[in-house]
Formats: sequence, structure tokens, C-alpha cells
Amino acid sequence: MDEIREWIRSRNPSLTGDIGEDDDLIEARLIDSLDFLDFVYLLEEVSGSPIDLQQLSVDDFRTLGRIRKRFLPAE
Amino acid sequence: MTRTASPGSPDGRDLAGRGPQRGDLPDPDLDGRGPGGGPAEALRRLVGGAPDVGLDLVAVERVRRAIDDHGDRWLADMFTGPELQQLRLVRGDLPERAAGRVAAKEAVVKALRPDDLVAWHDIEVLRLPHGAPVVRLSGRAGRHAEHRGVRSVAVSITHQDGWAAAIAVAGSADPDSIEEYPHG
Repeated sequence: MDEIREWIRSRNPSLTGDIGEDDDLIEARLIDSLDFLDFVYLLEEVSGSPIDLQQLSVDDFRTLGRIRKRFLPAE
Repeated sequence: MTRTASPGSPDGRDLAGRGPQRGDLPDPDLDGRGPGGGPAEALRRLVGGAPDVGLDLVAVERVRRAIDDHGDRWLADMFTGPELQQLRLVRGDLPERAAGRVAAKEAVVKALRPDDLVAWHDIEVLRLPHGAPVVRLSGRAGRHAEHRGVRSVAVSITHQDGWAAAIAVAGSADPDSIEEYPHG
């Protein structure tokens, strides 16, 4: 999850404080639409599994906790 | 802009050549119920009721960076085959042209206001032979549009100084009626 936190911070340099497991990343606009594919590629790299873009839901990305559950179940 | 000229005097003057006096002028026909309709009626004819509008601005450099970082994969995930074919055929800077299409897709998303993610491929932005962009919806975007009664989506794209911007208008009018609407 450190890589994911680092990616979010790199895209939001003004972000201060920790990103909690339950913080709403979508509501806070920490992942914008143009960066979305880059974020998916990162998740594929971290998880080692391909992600089907047609099967994604916004709730899959809403919090770090959900990202962990959906894409990184082995962690 | 609200037009206040009386119906039948397109230049704002009456037939005797007298400029309209304050007391002669009808109230602005904002609801389009007056003779000949008004701006609201024109808009209704164009989009079939209250339109949904989306506007988006994309920095060309962000698209350039995405293409530099991920190359063909990013292009293939962002654009359909026909979109890519058109983008590669047109002369000019690929990231700049791609940024315009991305802005158009995002503007369509904002106009449709879907309740979940839509894949970039679900919003296909192509250029007609005369250059005007046209939108084709499929997948979740198409289903959402159908559910909301959206039957037509019009987009316009512009580029300047490293930026691409697009506006999308989604409405319930049959697309054919848009073709028939007299411009000007």
C-alpha cells in the first residue's frame, strides 16, 4: 500500500497528513480521471494481475481499504 | 444574451423604421411561449428540454506525459480503434489531438453524470468528414444515457496554447431534429 499512497501523494503535492484506510479518495478528488489509467496500471503492477477496465466500479477505488480488498487481497 | 426585439422585426426596429420604445417592447420571451418562440424554445427544439452540459479542460502536457510513460497501451485503453485511426491520420501533434478527444470524453461524462465509472471506450468521439466531432455511446455510458432519456450528445472541441477544451450538451431530442435545426 505504500506505493499506492506514494502515487496519490505524487499526484497531489498539496496533500498534508496521512491518507487513512477509510478516507474517501473519490470525494476528495485525489484520483482524477486523466490519471485514472495510470493508477490502474500501478495497481496491476503491485498486484501482479491484469485489471479489466470494463468491470470496474467507482466504489472499488473509493478508499484505500476497498482498493486493498478488491485488488490486493493477498496483503 | 436575451433578445428583446418584438417578433417579426429581426433588426430590432419596427416596420415604420422607428426604433422600439421601452413601452413597445414585449417582455423577454424566456419561456418560449410567445409568438415564434424565444430563446428557451430554440434551446428546447435543439436539445428537447432542459439540456445537461459538461465542460472540460485538459493540459496537453499531461496527455503527452501519459503517452510518453505508457505509449500504445494508454492510447489503446483511452481510444477505440476508429478513434486511434483518425488520430493517427490527422497531421499535427498527436498529444494535442488526443487531448482534445480526452476533453470531449470527459465533457460527455460530466453532461451524462453517470452514477458509476464508464470506460473511456464507452464514449467514442469521431470526426465527420467535414471535421465536426460526433459522439457514439456504448456500454455503461450508452445504458445510462438511455435510462436518462438522452438521445443526442453534441460536442465541440478547441485547442490553444497547450490546452484542449471541450463542451458537451446532452439532450432528449432526436438527433435528426438537431440536423434540421436552422443555424444562425
